[in-house]
Amino acid sequence: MKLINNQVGLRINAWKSIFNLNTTLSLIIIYMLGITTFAHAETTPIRTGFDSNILAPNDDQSTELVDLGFTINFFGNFFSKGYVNNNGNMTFDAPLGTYTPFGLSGTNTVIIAPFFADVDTAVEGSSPVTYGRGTVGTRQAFAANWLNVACYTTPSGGFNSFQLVLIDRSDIGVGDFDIEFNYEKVDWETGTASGGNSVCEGGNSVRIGYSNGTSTSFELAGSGIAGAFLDTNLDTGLIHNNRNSLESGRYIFEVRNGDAPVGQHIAGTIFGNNTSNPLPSSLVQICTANQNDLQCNLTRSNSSGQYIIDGLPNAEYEIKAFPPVNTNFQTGTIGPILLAGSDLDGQDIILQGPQPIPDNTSILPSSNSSGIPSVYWHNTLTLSTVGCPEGTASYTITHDDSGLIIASGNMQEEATNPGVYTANVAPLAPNTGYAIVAISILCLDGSSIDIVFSIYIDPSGIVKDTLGNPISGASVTLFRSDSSAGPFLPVENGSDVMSPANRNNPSQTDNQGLFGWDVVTGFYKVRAAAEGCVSPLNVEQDFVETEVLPIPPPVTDLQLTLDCGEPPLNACDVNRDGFVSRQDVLQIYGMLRETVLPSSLGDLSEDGMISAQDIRGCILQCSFPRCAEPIR
Amino acid sequence: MIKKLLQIWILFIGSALITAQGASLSIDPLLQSVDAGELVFVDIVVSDLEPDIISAYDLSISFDNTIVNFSTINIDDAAFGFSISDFESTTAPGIISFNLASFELDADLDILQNDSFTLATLGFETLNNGGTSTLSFSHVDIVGANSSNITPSLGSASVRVNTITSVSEPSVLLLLGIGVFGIFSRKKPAV
Repeated sequence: MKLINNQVGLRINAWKSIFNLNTTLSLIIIYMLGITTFAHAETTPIRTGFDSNILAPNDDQSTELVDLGFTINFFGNFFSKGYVNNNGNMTFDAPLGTYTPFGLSGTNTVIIAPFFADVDTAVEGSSPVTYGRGTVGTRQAFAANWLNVACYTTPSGGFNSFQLVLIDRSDIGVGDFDIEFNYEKVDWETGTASGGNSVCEGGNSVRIGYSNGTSTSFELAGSGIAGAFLDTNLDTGLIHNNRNSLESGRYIFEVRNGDAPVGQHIAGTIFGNNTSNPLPSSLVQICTANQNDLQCNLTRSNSSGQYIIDGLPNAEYEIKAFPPVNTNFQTGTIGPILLAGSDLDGQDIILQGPQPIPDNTSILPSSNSSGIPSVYWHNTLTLSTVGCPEGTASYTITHDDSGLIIASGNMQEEATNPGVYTANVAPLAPNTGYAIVAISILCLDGSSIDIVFSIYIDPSGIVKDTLGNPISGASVTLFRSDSSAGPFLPVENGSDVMSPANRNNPSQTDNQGLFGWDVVTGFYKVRAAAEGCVSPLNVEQDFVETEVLPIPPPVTDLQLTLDCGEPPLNACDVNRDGFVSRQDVLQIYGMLRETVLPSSLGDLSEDGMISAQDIRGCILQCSFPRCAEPIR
Repeated sequence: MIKKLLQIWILFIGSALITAQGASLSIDPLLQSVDAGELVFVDIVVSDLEPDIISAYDLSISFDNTIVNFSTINIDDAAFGFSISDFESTTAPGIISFNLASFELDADLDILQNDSFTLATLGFETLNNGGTSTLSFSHVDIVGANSSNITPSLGSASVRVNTITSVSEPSVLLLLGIGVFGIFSRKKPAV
């Protein structure tokens, strides 16, 4: 028999206090929690297994102390065992039978609560709580599962499915671990003994978060607010959002050196081109600006373009927004901004649309798979355009993120092509990302021509063979995981994990062997494969793969090496370096009219003599424009 | 029916005539008459090129080395963009060979090139033997679009060299005659 505790209904939680309990304003801010539209929305975030033990159907009961299988450092206290409590939480100091959730701030219970509410597994149709040990990726883990559980004391509210996973990360530091809250279905939020109605809604609703039982605690934004976490709430429902994961309904809290995330929030809105066009479903990463202590968090803008990440400690942060799928806005960055003891709202980012390059203008060498020329940061570039003859032309290249001019100079008019202006641009490294090229031509008659277009400065990688030659057309595949422990899965082709500069996965290396993606924070591996090539270390493996790459910081100059044996025979590749270049053409040119063995090097026409046709045929086979030499 | 066949036949003949039209290589001007010792220049001109292009060529022009000698060459590469070119001459027999290969794309060459333009200008030194030297193509290797060969119609040209005859003065001849007479006279034995 339970008693209804009227007092708890008056409890004020931290989230409400931020917004002065103004109901209207609170609702608006709750929308900022975000909606997530993942490509894998149909999949469940619940990890399978971890169900070797059962807590028999009950109301308000707990397990005995159960072994986690590893030790966690939770706010300076080490635990290797804990209690799985029926009411949606684990405690580490004592079992907890409390059924009406209390605020986690100021509690004297050491608790981790994925869904602290009155669960009743004795209700008809409910499944019991299960728990056990297993692995996530390569790491040990312990999980407790509340799958298909009812509220006290009726099946009328439906059934919830959620999970708590503790993942051992002692590979990083002693006692380090990840807390993972996974939600598949949230039909109800409050037991009927806690003020919930006949379908277990309203009243003193569910609390989500954790506490060290003394001074430090954290509650997820929306905790204790009726209606905030239900599936029916498309903006703030638990299954529609995430934290530090691309998996919808998954919330990850990294506990390092004993410290779990606590602190303030940063919030704002993502727009496209102007503030009248909010962008839903933009991935937003917030990283500390201090490169020596880089910490990143990830979320997604909701249906109103708003985002929020909470549990952030005081620090300077940089915020980067990635455009949603099927848009070609450029990424946008603001910061560093200082978070110093209070929340930071209004951190808006306006993503700019790309400015296409005009037909009569070029910047070479470059690739152009997204409508924006992508230039390799170590290449010297040739900028060309067409304007009025005998004018004066100049250019500037301005970096999007910093707003700084990273290259500028005059453009020379070609003596043989009046009105054609060119300039050589020194390599743009160490700058990366988007930039704006602006060309201005002042004509003799006093008029001027202004040309503006976007470029993407690509710092990424190159695939080479063991001879050091770039491999053109190699297949490179990007794998991602929320955790360095894995598992690593291929990023879906077209995913907004990658910026529009390249959303192809797998991608193909260009004719210089280059590839690259601009990606959202996470842990990545890159795999490269090419026809006829194998791993230099394992001939049975037809690909090579990087180690785990934490992003950020950016990984630049990544090199993947494949063993491709001898280069394929090409009559034009006289110097056998795998490329047809000016060196080859000049050698063939020097043999003009010489008699050679049919089909020997240079004799493309296979007639036993080097002719102008052979020379021109080889020029057309050159790997780069005008038979330029490859970068080595 | 007969009328229709006639139309087809006319079309066939018409298209055949159009097809027969192609590029031609000429040496311009066709005939020059100059005095010995002067330089004479000829242009190597391609015409009726369109819709084709020239992407590379290797040409030789023969000449009578007893009448003219190769002196200078200017390979005009304006229509070929970024390119390489070279030449070589021999005197026995008299042949000047020159070649060029463009690194530009066919599409760019199509923009750069007109229906008719000059490939090179050759300069010859005229010798004092007099006579007429024919200039004609002895080797033709022309490459068009997609590195396919072009077979142009070929022209030739002539250079007529007028000798400069020096006229001897009578007093000299007279003195020469006296001298010869004197020599023969002294060799007669005395009686």
